[in-house]
Amino acid sequence: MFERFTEEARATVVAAQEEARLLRHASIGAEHLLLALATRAGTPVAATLARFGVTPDACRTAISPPEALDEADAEALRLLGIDLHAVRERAETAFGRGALDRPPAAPRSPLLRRAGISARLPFGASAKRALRLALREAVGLRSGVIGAEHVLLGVTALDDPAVVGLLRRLGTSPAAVRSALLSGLRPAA
Amino acid sequence: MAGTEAKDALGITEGAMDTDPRVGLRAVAALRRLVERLEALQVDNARRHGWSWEEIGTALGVSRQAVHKKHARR
Repeated sequence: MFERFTEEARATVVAAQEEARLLRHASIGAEHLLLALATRAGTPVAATLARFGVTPDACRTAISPPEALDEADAEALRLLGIDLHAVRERAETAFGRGALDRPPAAPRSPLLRRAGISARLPFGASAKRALRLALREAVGLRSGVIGAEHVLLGVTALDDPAVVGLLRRLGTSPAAVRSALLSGLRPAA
Repeated sequence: MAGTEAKDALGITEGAMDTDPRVGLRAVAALRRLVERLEALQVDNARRHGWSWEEIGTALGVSRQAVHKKHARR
């Protein structure tokens, strides 16, 4: 599948891996693809994302650490009679801002550490699905190659909780980004 | 008002617990992650206060080895 990726799309995938590594995540998710697309300064895709406030820095801040508890967790805990906001508040009073949401530490396995920080991260299920959808989007748009714009279409077609949550925290949604990108791709009538 | 809300919440909880496994399991998963975060916070704090792994393990009800393996070098 990768042979049909454009240089830009390949660079995006490489950047996604790097971003996931810097965030100390264990695998590459669709949210890292989105972040990587935003980091490709000067590309039409990054420009579209920037219009929605999806900039590299905003993304990195808004991507939740894998163990962080989000609104969906708060809702689930509420059903058990636990007020996550109250717990978070108390934790922060005692241990400082973001105490409950601190990212996990680097891998503790000596093997992983010995392999070095640049150890290749595996693609998670959401990233794989996003890339498969990118191929489908490219075919649907009668494009012979898979470009960065198709990767973004794939990411926004996913309905992945990490992507949806990230975009929501940035004040937008996959649908909004997607339709803006699509209207840019279609030649003006 | 608050009482009514609490009663509603209780109703939802009871319903969730014995009807929809998805909701119940989701809540358990969230609770587990919350416990993990709280444990990390408290263990770090205990270490800063000079507690030994032995003491932390005893307080948590697990072995010194278990707590050390899980939290050392974090």
